[in-house]
Amino acid sequence: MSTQAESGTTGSTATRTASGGRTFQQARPPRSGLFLTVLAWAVGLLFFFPVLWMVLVSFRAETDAASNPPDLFAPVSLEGYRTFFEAGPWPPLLNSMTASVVSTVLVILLAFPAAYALSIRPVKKWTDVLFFFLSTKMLPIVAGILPIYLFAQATNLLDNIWLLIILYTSMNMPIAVWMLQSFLAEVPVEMLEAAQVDGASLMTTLRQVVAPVVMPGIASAALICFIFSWNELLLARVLTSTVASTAPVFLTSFVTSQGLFLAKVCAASFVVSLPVLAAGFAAQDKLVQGLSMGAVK
Amino acid sequence: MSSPALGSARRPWLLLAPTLAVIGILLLWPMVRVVLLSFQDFGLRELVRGGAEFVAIDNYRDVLTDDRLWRVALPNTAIFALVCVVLTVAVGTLVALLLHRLSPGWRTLVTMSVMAAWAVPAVTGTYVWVYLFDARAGFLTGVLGQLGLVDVATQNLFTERGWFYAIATLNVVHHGFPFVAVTVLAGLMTIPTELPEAAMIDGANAWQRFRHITVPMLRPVFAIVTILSTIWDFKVFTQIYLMPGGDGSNREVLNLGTWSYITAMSQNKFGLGAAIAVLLTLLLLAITAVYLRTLFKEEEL
Repeated sequence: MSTQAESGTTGSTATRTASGGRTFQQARPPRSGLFLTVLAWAVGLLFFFPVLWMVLVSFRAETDAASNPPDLFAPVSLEGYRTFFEAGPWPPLLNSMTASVVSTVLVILLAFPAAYALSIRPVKKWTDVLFFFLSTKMLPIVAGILPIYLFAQATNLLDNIWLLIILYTSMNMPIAVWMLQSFLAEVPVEMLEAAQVDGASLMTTLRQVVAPVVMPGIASAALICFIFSWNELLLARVLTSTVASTAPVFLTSFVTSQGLFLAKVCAASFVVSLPVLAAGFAAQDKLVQGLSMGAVK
Repeated sequence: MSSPALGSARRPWLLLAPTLAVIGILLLWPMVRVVLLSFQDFGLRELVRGGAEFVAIDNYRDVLTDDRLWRVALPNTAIFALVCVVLTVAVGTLVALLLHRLSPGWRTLVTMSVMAAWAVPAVTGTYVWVYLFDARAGFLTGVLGQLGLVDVATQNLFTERGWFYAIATLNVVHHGFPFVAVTVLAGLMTIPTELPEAAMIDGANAWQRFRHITVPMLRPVFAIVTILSTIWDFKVFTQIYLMPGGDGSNREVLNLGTWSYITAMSQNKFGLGAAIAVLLTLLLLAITAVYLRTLFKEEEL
């Protein structure tokens, strides 16, 4: 099945107008649908509440944090943050950063050519290959842990950050290939032929012609991989101990050692969320643009 | 679109090879080991000494005849996942429709707030929800008490299966809807504004425009978010395991993931734990295959 069959469907008629559609004015609330607007705001605020509550509580003294109903005007205290930073969060935070950034870069470097092969130069049965990629996500990580643990033990890779990097790379690969494939399918084939005529090698074509066009797609796939690696708990918990432990592992042990003291937990949670928020902010523009190009495929 | 001028037929497979190798070694190999393990009597002794006895389908027979599978783990997994997927996609879509109507400035602000829910690690996010519903000090327990839904003095919500999973649902939907919202918003941006406008002139109301324009055009987007949410929500582990009683101390709230983990890691019945995991994988494969087939049939691919 080639992508030609696919471009016959309604999906890509919409996509073709996408680049033009984005420049149209989007914000024009129609008068009807007031109910929908109110409902959407209500839902949005309801779901923002726990995050807001968490941030507010993180700046309270422990005694004020526990008060019920919560006192909105309790004095600001940095007690929670002090306790968190005194517990030595930097090595795990750095480990998490290393594991997330390096694995994300590796995922994109490997998934990009694969997605290219699946979309621009369609492999026969490409839908089967995609389903195969997807199916590898279905085994619960919980189940794979024992074989992986035995393997790490045999190869002396326990408590080594590189083990986590390799595992996160493979863990995120299927989703990255899947997402990138849908973006790459949008690249006009004429563009590649022009590059070919100019004598560009495959690598040059990928790097200088294809990559800039699908940059938004790369940004969105990278963001998702980063978030998953940053949040991963199970593998890190079983496979690391002192040297390579990551932020989520640190969080669980921090909570256990401190007891469920609210202000501290909230402060810790907020600090660990910040890198993701920063990454999200950096990618936000490209994300919306990018997904809109690819997702409709 | 494959043009003969673009290269030999072997090249696509060459480009796919590194990825297939990584996935083959790091994802398929553990999968094969798990399947092998599920046919073995593999305990602590085998873990230390190596070598294990093959017991054919004994593990599967044990699991399939276990009352806990049918009464506890399977309903807890399947009903929970179904509710979570529906709610995540519904909430995510609502928020995306809201974001789509906002001016760019407001949109950035609200998108970042939505992203905040995604940024909070599942670990601490779960602790925050647990605290909000704490039996004595929980703010939301207090609210439920005021509404007369809960008897704050005597009831501990986490010991009751229904409440336990209601709270877990809130947690999982809260953590999952930003992905849906951002993806659906991206899809909405691609719908040419002429279409809803023309429909509006023809007198279509908001619901009709959503039902007859947005939904058909965004079907592929909904397919992606639904399939990924299904895979994630069937495999929810962290959020259940970290809730009070979720680590196995309350047998009523086990799902297939935590049951497999506890059987393998706490009771050292690795073969039995693997069999549970394989059943979960087969369940997911079946659901996704049926879903994709219906989808591709509709798309005439």
